[in-house]
Amino acid sequence: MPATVALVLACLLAARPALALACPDCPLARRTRAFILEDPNTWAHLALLLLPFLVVWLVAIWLHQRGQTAGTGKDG
Amino acid sequence: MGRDKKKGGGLLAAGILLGVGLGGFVDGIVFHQILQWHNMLSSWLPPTNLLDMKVNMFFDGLFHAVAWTTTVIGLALLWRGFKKDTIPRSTPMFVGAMSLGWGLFNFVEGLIDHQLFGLHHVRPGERELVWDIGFLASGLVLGGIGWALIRKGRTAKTA
Repeated sequence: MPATVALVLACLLAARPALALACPDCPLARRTRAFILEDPNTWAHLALLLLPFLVVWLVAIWLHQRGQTAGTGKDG
Repeated sequence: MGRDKKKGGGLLAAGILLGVGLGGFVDGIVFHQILQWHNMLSSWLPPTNLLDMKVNMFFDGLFHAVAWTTTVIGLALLWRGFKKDTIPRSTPMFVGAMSLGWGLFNFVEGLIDHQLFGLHHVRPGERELVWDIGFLASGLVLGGIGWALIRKGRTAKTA
């Protein structure tokens, strides 16, 4: 048991720089959040990220509607 | 349940959404993370320092979140169709729909994000256009395979 604890502590110490970078409240993380919130292009980036998904969602919705109305006289 | 109610639209919609979601994961996992050829905004905000890398990681995460949501909606549609017994149990149609969804997504994403807006390129560099066109072609090939399989499934169903 003590050996396991020692091993975990050793790993954590070795990984400390990475942990510091990944911390949610370190200065770099705060700068990143501030950048994203203040960047005037953020909404454009988001829109372009979503646009391809929206197109294929619309195709899927259309096919789904076709499936639901099929055989009712509204569609083949 | 009458056979006439199993028209396949629900199966196609579910398969397409699953193909889009899983295809999105392939793109994100293989190109963004394993090969690290590009990130979501890497042509507009090259990840040459840690801040820009983290901003790109944020948008990569959003991309994965939308792909995950699409996959879940596809699974929900599939499950609902099975429970209501309104979708045909056709493997070619289902696999074809997934292939069509993946291909459609590659083509649309390639057209919008790579060609029209240059948000990122598949593999930036001297031959980026070749890689981008290859990505579009992969969409057409996957879509074509999917379309052929769907037709095969429909033919088998009506035979």
